Amino acid sequence: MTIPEVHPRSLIKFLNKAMALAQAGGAGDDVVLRQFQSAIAVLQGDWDDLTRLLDDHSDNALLEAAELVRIHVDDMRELLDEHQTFFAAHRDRVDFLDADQEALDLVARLGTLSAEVIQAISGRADERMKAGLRVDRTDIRDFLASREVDDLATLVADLAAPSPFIVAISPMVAFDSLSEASGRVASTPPTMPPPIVLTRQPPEAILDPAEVMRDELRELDEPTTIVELTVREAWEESIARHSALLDVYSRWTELPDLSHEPGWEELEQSEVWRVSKTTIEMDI
Amino acid sequence: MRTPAQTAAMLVAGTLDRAQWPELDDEDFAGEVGDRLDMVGLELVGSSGKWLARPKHAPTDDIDGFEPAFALNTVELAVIAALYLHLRYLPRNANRNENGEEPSVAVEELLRGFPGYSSRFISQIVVGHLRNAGFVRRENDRLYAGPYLATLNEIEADERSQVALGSFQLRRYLKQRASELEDDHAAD
Repeated sequence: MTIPEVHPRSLIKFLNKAMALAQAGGAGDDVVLRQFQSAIAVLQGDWDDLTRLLDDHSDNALLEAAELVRIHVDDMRELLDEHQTFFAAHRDRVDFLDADQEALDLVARLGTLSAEVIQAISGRADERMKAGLRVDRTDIRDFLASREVDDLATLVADLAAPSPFIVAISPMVAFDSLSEASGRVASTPPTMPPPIVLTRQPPEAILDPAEVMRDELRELDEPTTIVELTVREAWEESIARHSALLDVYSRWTELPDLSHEPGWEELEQSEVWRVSKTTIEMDI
Repeated sequence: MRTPAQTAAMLVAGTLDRAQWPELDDEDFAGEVGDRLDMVGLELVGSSGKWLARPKHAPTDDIDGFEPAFALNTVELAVIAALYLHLRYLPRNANRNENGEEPSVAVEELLRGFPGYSSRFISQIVVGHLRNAGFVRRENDRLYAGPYLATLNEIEADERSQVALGSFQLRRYLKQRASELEDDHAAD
């Protein structure tokens, strides 16, 4: 429904009359319901406007909005009274019940809030409100955090003037200071030591255990077991020689054949427990 | 022998310790110093144990050809307002007995009022400038009113603070009421 040229102040009153005309003219219930919902939408808009203006800094705008809300609330109460019979006749319809409930709730909320806004802004706050206006550190903190610096600056803008503090300079003191400053010697880094020629040292020769083992293998002149070739008294030396032997067979060819037999050789004279029975043959 | 002319000259270059300048407690002497300061738009004020010269009116910088040597920018004025609220307005209006101690505020507390600025900018640059200008004193991590903060016209400043804080508290209360009413509606 469009509402042409109706002053915002009279919107709900207008919708009230429209509902009465629609009922008298025999318009359907749904038409009347839509008009009623339009009136509810006006109140919902009032609620949104009023709560939005609470963040605004203008007391006048807030007061004007609250006054308008109060008129709308009174008009809605009148509407609900005048159409009480109509609503009662449609108690069986959920959409009518919901709209009726919504209207009553908005009337209650807006009536309370607008009354408190008007009372507060008009300076007729009750004792409870006055008690609430006592200032503490938290109030100051919240207030400062909620304001832009421009707003805060206006609190003291024309009250706070910088000190005159015209600096008086004695020419004698100034030139003495200049003389003292210009006599200072800039610090310099210490001189570098003279360069020296470094002598090159050849790197320390490190024997490759695999090459040593390979040479040992090649010098064998009779079949030798792995135990004879690798096992020594200490575990560390034995395992090092065994690893070197494996390395030799993985890196070089043309080495003596290895012949394997089932079973183990168990040792008593060293830290090695047992070794597989393998012999290094001399036929290459 | 201290003369009014010398005293006036010193007051435009700095402050005088009240305890060491009993001459300024003498009405005739102070009157002569005041007259000399008055000729250049300054007035003699005693505050926080100091004698100082205060401009009668904040100089306006919109005069052709005038460039102020020292001017307070918007952030500095905002911090002065915050310091005034903490160090002057609150002690007078909070009905609290501070055991006779000089009102002070922690630097950390001041910073909470300026969440949009870096703490270094407010606590070092702005407060540092205001300290040099005589509006604040800093001892460790606490700020105390400097002599120039104490000379703000407190009637005017208190009135503005009261209006601004009252409006803030009122709106905070009304917003809380609106929220309660909405919660009641949601509960129904």
